[in-house]
Amino acid sequence: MNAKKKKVMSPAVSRYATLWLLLAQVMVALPVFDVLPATVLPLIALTLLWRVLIWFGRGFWPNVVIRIVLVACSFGLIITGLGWTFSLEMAVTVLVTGYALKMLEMVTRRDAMIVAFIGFFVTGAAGLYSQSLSQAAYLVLCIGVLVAAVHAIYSSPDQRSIKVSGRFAGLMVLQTLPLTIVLFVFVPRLGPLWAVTWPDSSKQTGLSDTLKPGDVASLSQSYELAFRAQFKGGMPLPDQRYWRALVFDQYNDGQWSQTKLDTVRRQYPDVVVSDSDWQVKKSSAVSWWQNQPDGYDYEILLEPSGSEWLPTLGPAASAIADSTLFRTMRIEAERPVFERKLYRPSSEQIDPVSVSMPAWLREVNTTLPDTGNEESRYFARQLFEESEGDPLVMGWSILKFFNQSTFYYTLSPPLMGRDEVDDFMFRYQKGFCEHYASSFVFMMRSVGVPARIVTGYQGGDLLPEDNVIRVLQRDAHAWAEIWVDGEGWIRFDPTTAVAPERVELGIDEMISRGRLEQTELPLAYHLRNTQVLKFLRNQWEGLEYRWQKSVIQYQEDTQEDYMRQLFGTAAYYWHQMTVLGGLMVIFLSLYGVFFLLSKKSALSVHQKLWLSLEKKLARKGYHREPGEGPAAFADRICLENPALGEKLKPVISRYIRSAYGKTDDLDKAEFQSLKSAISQI
Amino acid sequence: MDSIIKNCLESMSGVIRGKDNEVRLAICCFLARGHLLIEDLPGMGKTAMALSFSRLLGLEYQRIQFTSDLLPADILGVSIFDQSASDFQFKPGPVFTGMLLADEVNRASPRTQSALLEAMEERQVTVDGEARMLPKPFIVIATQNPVFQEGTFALPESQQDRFLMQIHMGYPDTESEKAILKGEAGRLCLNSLEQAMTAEELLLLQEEVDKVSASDLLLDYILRLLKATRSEEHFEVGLSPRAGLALLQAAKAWARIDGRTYVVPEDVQTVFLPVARHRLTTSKHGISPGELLARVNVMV
Repeated sequence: MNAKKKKVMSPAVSRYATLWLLLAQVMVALPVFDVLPATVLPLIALTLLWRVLIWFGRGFWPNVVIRIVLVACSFGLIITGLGWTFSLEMAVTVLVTGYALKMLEMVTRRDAMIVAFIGFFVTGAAGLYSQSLSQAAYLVLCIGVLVAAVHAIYSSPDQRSIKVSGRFAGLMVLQTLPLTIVLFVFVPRLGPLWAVTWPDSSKQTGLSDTLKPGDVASLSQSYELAFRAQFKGGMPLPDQRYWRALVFDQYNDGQWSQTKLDTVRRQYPDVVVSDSDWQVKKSSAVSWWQNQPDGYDYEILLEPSGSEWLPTLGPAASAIADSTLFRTMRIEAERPVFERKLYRPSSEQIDPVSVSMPAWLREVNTTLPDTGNEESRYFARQLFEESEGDPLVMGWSILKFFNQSTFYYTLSPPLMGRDEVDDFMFRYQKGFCEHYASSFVFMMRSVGVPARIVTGYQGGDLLPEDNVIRVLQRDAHAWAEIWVDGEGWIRFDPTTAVAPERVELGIDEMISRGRLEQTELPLAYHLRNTQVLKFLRNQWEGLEYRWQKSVIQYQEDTQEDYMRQLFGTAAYYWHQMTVLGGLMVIFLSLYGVFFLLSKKSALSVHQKLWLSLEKKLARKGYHREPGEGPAAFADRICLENPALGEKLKPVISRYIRSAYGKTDDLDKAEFQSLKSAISQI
Repeated sequence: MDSIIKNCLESMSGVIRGKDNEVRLAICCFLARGHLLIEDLPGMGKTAMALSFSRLLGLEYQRIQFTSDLLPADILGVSIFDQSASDFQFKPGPVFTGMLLADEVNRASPRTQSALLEAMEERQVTVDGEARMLPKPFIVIATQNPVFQEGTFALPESQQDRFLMQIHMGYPDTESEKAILKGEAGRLCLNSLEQAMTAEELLLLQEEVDKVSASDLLLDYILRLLKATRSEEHFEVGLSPRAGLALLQAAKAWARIDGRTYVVPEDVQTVFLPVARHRLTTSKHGISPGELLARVNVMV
């Protein structure tokens, strides 16, 4: 690309426009900053610095060789940072790197336009990573800056001020808003023609598929949002808010995991004959228990977790669309959740007495390794004898033990040894919910009582004005369930024995009441607990929730619902199109009226009169050249068509006298007669 | 008054053959209180035209032949010690006159050029710390050879700006040239020219030019022209507000010559090239001032 050759095609880009483009580049790159691999960051920084130096007249333009080396370097760095597999990250990184490098050959206006358009594209890419309200607002701001940059590229020297460009961009963005809203609401949603695969499944947040000491403790410090639940009608009390996500019933080498269909089919080939003995996709096929129709009616908006689990309030009674129901009373999505997911769990409840418990399932839930944790096994046997074989009494006495011994609830438990239950029960006596739950389940199983660990979330903040419960990652919790013949699965939360407030108040209040041994409180905790900030945060999150629910989740289904609500007929689609078309017509005509008005008002009476004359002559085939004055125009017509010219000449000279002669006050009578004379031509 | 102008034009056409438009432009320039720069190759009748005007307008006439060793004092005058009065006496230079012909102005050194050009703008001369007014009217007709000729010092842009108009003589058409060869024009006829106007009449005409009106419609057209010259693609430097005033004044003078009391767009178009051409430098990929005139819309 020869710079000289280009100059012929397009004028050079001004320093002022370059400044806008640099600002836009920094702003647009910020939201995707943490996507970029660390290897390319120095390159991008170097490029920008170089461009700034050129701007100050301190740097030189890189020649072709340097540019080729830079491009090769950037590809090398991208591959080092991200590997060879193609991913969305790679696409975005290539885009952003190219965006930065292009600045180094931005000489002409045409180049500048390309840079600006890449900027718009990167803005769109940033929208893939977060669709929160704040992000959306920021991206609109980015678009504003980019529009200002485009304005700056084409501005004449006297228009070059931040005020002029900013005003222009602001007006333009504001003008597009109404149309954007109409198009958003009414344009039918089509499924994507192609889908970006999201290969980065390592980005799991929240609960993990296995349970090891320490997992939940680290999680509980995160203030990230896990999900929001909106209720219609009744709301559960704080101590009923057990959000069930995963059920761990397999124990191996100190690690708890979930039973898979393959495992039970392999272990019990005679009894587990079909998939529906372990998991079903349609609620009608459930034969494991009976349902009652008196549960809570609620919707959950789940943040991307990277896993399949879908939290439900209490045991899940039946499957919902695109999900699988497991015999462990939990549901799972068909694919990992990488985008916000809105779903409505079944409002039915399981009748606990009706739950069936075949022998093989009982075996699954009592299996333990043959050896290990001998102290705890011995202790459990003692308790079992004391409670005369009643699992409920045994459960209560374990809780009593937790309560009366010197057990501490801590966010940073010590590392346990090989016999981790023994270590926890008799040596350290410090731990988080998972330690209590897993020890409880271990001891129950050791005496033959079916037991399992349930993890999920517990509690959540109530936003009363929206009927919404907001659950954060720090609300993650683990509890236990034991099987009692004739009563079904009974929930035991051993954590309540040592720290009952943990369940009733939530973690924030506990920390503030000094009930929690805490070595390191995150700074975020202190920041969260001033009243004003709390109020603002609640308001903001309420706003964010409404944004998520009514804008981001406004997809095919919700749109269809809304349209039906609006038009109430089966032919809503045609109504939708009619409204869309009608609004377009209104918009266009409004635009046309404004356009005409603004143009008309700038013209003087004489100019309007002249234009009407010009129109008439244009119909006869005589067009005035731009640089042709009225007299010259009349002379030319005279030459080409003497008959017309003879009629025209006196009129035009009258026009000239009227338009250019004494201008203090317009001779109205003369103007009117001139007007009629022109209309007669 | 109209007859005076007509007289002038007719008399001139006898001396300078086939250059009616240039003559008209020159008179227009004087009526607009401007100075005139005539640029062309040697022998095209520049000096003859300047001489004719001095006779026609009946102004006191001085001529300076610019050379590379000409000094400012040669133009402005010097103070000489008078022994009888034992005091310095100021001897006015040739600049103290009604019409000054500065021949081949670009052959003098820049220092001398600027002495003249300052006098043109200020219409007064300061020598030995004393300001001396120049007579009214004061008109400078400068001739210059194209700058690519040997031994010339190009006038800087700032000084070219002092001339209201710059006109080119150009070769005469065949018929006119034949008349010149026959001796029916040129220096011989020049001597027989009669004065067609007095200095007072010229001042009166200049005042009449000021009274010519320009409507908003016309001013908008001038503004469009000025704006178009200021877009950086076409010209390196656009027209200054002073150039805009000059353009309007020249257009008014042209309207007056036509006997009108108001300016029409054609007046502006006629004087645009002589007024603007020497003030504009077309940039590498720009358009010429003439093309600009064709592009800017006259009416809206």
